Amino acid sequence: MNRTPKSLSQSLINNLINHSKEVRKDILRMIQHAGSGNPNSALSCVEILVWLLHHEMHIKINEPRWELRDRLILSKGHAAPVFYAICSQLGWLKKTELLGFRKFNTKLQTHPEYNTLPFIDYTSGSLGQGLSAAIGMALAANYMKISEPRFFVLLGDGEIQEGQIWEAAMSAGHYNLSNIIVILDYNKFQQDGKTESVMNIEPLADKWISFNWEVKEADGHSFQSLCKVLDSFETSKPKIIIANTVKGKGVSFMENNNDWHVGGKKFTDQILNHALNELN
Amino acid sequence: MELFNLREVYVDELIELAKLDERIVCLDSDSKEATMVDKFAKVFKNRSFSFGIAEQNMVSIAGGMSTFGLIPFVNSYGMFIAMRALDQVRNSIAYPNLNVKFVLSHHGLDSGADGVTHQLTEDISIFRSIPNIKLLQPLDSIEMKQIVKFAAKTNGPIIIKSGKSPVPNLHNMEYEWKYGHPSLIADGEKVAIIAVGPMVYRSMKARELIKEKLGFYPKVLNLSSLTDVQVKELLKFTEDIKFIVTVEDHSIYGGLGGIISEIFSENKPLNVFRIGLKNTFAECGSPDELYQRYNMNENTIVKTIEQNL
Repeated sequence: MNRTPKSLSQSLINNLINHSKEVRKDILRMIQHAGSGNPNSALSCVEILVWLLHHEMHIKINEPRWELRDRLILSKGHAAPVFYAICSQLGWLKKTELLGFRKFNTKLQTHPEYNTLPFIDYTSGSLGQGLSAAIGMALAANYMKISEPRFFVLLGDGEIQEGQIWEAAMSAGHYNLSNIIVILDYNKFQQDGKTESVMNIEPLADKWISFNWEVKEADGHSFQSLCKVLDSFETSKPKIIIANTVKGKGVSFMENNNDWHVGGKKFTDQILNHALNELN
Repeated sequence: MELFNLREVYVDELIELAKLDERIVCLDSDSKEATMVDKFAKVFKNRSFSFGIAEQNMVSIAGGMSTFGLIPFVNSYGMFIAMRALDQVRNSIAYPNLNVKFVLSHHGLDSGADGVTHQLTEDISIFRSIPNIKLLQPLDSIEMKQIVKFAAKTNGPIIIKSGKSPVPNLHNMEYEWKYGHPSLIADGEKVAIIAVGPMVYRSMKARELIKEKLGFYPKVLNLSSLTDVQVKELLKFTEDIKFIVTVEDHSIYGGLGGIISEIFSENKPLNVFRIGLKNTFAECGSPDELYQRYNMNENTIVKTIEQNL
């Protein structure tokens, strides 16, 4: 559906920047407290999710399962700490709940689970399934003649090595699902190293174009860039923003350092404080 | 004896239900003809969704649809849901307990000439170990109609095995199917044959042979619910029984034989002899040829009972 572009004033941008800074601190605290987790793959998608949840998406804070809301499918389920941290900013979670992440007897499962919290739109964790789920939602909305929701899907770059992504890409193109918007967190790394050496996914744009998608690139850490690119889509095809990001963004010793794909024991109190100081 | 193709019985029932409930939609993966849902597509063109040969995508799509309140019926050859899309069934559907139904055709040696790649003989052991899933294999058209209705009105993931070969009705028209309950197909003594799917009919054939050869009729029970089995009901039917023989068109590991062995090892010491596929792959052939070669036909049932009396 057509929407009036939401312009970004400087004060709004400053707000989003501040939110992002706080989110980064929260996710580092959460992952460090949990003793395990994926800090630098969370850090790469902070701006993307802050932009979506604080600005772009049509949601109702007091009615998380509002039928006409835009949906967010964190197909890259290990981005959950980013999402939880933003949820606490939106008032959906208490700040004190965040340290329950990955812990026994808490709601904050390692990967988002549809039934544990009302504002999670789909269960993820097993990579490659979220785009299909969004297609199911979009087809259901079309069938039910509900035109309002858009379906935002966050994909990891390593994740698109899964075959199901391309089954889904083919079917979104086939059904011409214009209200699907994928944001690919292209941080160039995956668990075992650089994406180009583990399994090269390039040429990326050409792949999606050939599956009948409209493709644009953005700076995944710039709110202006993300906003401008979203507003520039012209066709009724499904859409993908290839968001160029930096793995570990915001913490110097984590940036582009795949040793921090997993936190673990090396993530000591001292290192946490060092990282938090950098963010201050 | 009139034979019914359970795939067709299912689709006819689904069409009737869909006329009254707009939430019902039908999904397939280039398997409309094989699963017979082409009939549904002709009646409800805008409620029939095809995804090409891509079962993993189809399963997760069904999950997404269900979050909008639709009731997707996913149709495929059994193998490609139980094996290829198992991760999606478990993680996308069962874990969040989404309201998605699966109707699986072509399983066991009953798939016959389609060959080993289509002869799904592991699904019962796979699906019954996944929480939230209800697994059902209707015996005849009378059960199938009721089970399709049950699936449409019961929230959560439900898997229905529809098979391939036509089968006779072994229940009478008044029979009322209840989830989890076994049904007594024929009464008898000394031995209970507990079977599932087309093997119930073969057990009935064996029952006659046993009467001729050994002078008594064994009981024959049908267990169409392969999850949440009502143990008390089962114990009631086996009060005066010396031993049990299970018969299934499935591996003897973890399937019906596994279910019955588990129940009786915990509730009532009774020997359970399992008839099914024994740790081997089969081959192409007609179901009759295959059941004979792999010791799963009525003669094996008779022999098993004779040896253990």
